[in-house]
Amino acid sequence: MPHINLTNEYPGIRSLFIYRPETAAPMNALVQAMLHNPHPSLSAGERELIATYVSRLNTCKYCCNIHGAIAKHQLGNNGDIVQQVLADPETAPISGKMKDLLKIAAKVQSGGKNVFPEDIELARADGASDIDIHDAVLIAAAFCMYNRYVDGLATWQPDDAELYDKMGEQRAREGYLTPPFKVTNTTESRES
Amino acid sequence: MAHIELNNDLPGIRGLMAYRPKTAEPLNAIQPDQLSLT
Repeated sequence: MPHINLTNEYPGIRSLFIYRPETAAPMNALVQAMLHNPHPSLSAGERELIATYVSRLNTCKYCCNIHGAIAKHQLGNNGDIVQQVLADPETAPISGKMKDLLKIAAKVQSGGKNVFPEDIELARADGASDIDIHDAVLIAAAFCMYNRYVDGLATWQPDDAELYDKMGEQRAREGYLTPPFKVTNTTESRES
Repeated sequence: MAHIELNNDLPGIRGLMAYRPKTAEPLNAIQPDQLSLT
């Protein structure tokens, strides 16, 4: 049960967005700009993988599941890549550049000062542009905020893989700015 | 020195925002003075 009365039945960050529209608008616009809008050299799926991975490192179930589902749909319905990145980015079937960016993202998650020049050099050697590096750091930093926001208020985070997949499909297709569909929060799904 | 070339001399987050206006706009809007919080 959420720490405060959110007066709505939406899961995860959506319940917080509905509760506090003033802060929801810029937070949602930020995620749209970081993850969904066109990017010169990182696909939406690749950016979603960074968000998913950081959310896993922060053990945020809702964010990891929803962005994992969005990543899957952005990557041609390939959920295996998502699971392999979560298991171990080094052995996952992704580019060397993506492995380097995920390494930088993990360092940002543990503390911004943990990113060293050699991490940046490695990413550059594998073809990362400055924009790629900037955006990987920003996505990692922003998801530390979103993850703590979602967990710090103990939002409802369902255990329903099918639900996350359905919500993820919507976000991959529509982006972040359209209204969420209604989720039935039954006692059963709360207890599962 | 910043890890990437920001092409400006602004300090801290201002340098990052000048470098990347597309993400700066919503980030700036998160600032309390930009929000009509009551």
